[in-house]
Amino acid sequence: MTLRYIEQTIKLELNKEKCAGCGMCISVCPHKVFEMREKKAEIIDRGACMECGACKKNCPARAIEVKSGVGCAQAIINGMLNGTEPNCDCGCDKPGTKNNCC
Amino acid sequence: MSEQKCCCGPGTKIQIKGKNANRCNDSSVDTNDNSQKNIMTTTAKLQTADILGNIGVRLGYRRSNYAVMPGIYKIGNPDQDSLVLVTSNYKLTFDSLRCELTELNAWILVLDTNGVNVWCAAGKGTFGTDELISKINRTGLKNIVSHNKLILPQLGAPGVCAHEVLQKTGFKVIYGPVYARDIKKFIADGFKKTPEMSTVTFTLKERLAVIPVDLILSWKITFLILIAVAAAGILNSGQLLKAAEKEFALSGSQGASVQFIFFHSLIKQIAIDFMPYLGSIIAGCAAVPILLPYLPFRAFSLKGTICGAIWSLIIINAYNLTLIPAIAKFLIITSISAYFAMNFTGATTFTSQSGTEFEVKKSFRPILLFFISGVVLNILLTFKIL
Repeated sequence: MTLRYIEQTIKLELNKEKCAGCGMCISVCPHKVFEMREKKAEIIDRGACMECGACKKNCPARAIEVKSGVGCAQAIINGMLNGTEPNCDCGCDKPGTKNNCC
Repeated sequence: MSEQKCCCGPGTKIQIKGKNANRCNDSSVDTNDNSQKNIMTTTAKLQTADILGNIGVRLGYRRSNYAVMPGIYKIGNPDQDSLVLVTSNYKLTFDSLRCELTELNAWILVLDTNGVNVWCAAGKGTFGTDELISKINRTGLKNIVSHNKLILPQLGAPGVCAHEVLQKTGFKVIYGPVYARDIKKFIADGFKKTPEMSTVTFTLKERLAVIPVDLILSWKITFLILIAVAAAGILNSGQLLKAAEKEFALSGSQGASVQFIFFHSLIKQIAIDFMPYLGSIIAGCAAVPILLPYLPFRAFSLKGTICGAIWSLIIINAYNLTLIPAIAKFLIITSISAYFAMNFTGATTFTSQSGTEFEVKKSFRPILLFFISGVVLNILLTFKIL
């Protein structure tokens, strides 16, 4: 059974004019969001996107726009409490800080 | 509810004791360069210690400090034409890759991700373009292999820009399958992936694997609830003391002492009082993940509310609660379950940040309101105000 999450918030965009049809987005997407149609990529399932940002990062034509981030409530709550962007690090990536999160 | 839990596993700076990193001086490659000395050896066979370590880390033991030495490894007898597979230095990841490489001669390039798995490290950028380029240069990969292909796990793609790596190092990044179990087939098929090999799943087995860590990471909240329940139990222990004195008198002062009877019944009472809340944590941390595809609603907090509501109805029925205590139990149990269910978003493989943000903004206040009202009701009940 395919698991799906809240879809109406996803803002993934593909500029078909810029797309060179290399197929990289299809290769890196973990949720079959793209498909190749007439030698260009096309978004066929935007709602399945988890905003990992792999497609945008690897698109040589810069045809993809998506705000990537972590889909983690704790990260978002941390961000809310600290007034920062959502983060999964809890500060523990910085050497010397006490690891109380992960 | 200030438990700081990280969705993405460990992230501390680690110190590696080169346990698994047996330095190797023997070689079949060029010897006139620096890279030679730095080649480490590994095998496709996991030792008992690796297996025990993997089980331990699944339970949270050494989870933030389970790493192998970054650098270049050889597996089998690779030569300059052998494939280069890139991975992270989280030992669980490294082990799951190498145990798929039986009868294969290959190089494994391990990036320093602070002991974090590939996907989470890619999200944080530590499994990233810069780290890959730096490891290519520092290991002298150009002198080790004569080709220019690197096979990366597909889930490393959020951190790595393939065309930038090609431009800066001449190495061509090929994104392999999501799961290490498909790597042999991927290689055999000439680097072709089926849509299934490209897709991340979240099967019951995968969900079960993340439950223990989630439960263990919730221990702080579990402990706080236990203290609160114990405090309320002690405050209300007057009746238990009277009952103990009565029982002692009935036994003709011959049986166990009053203190013993009292203590015994107090512990029992605390355990009975604690059970509903322990259950609510299990509802959010275990029942929701297990039943994930079958529970209605997309929002995890709503899925948690359902499991919490069912559990509270069971408790209200089993404990024969009157209206006000029943409402108090319902509010606390559903809010705890909803909170933990919502936190499970971080352990999944399909939740987006914008969706999770939407959910947290909608759910956080109601959850807090439910919890606080339930606690206030309970305090009033404890002090016999209601």
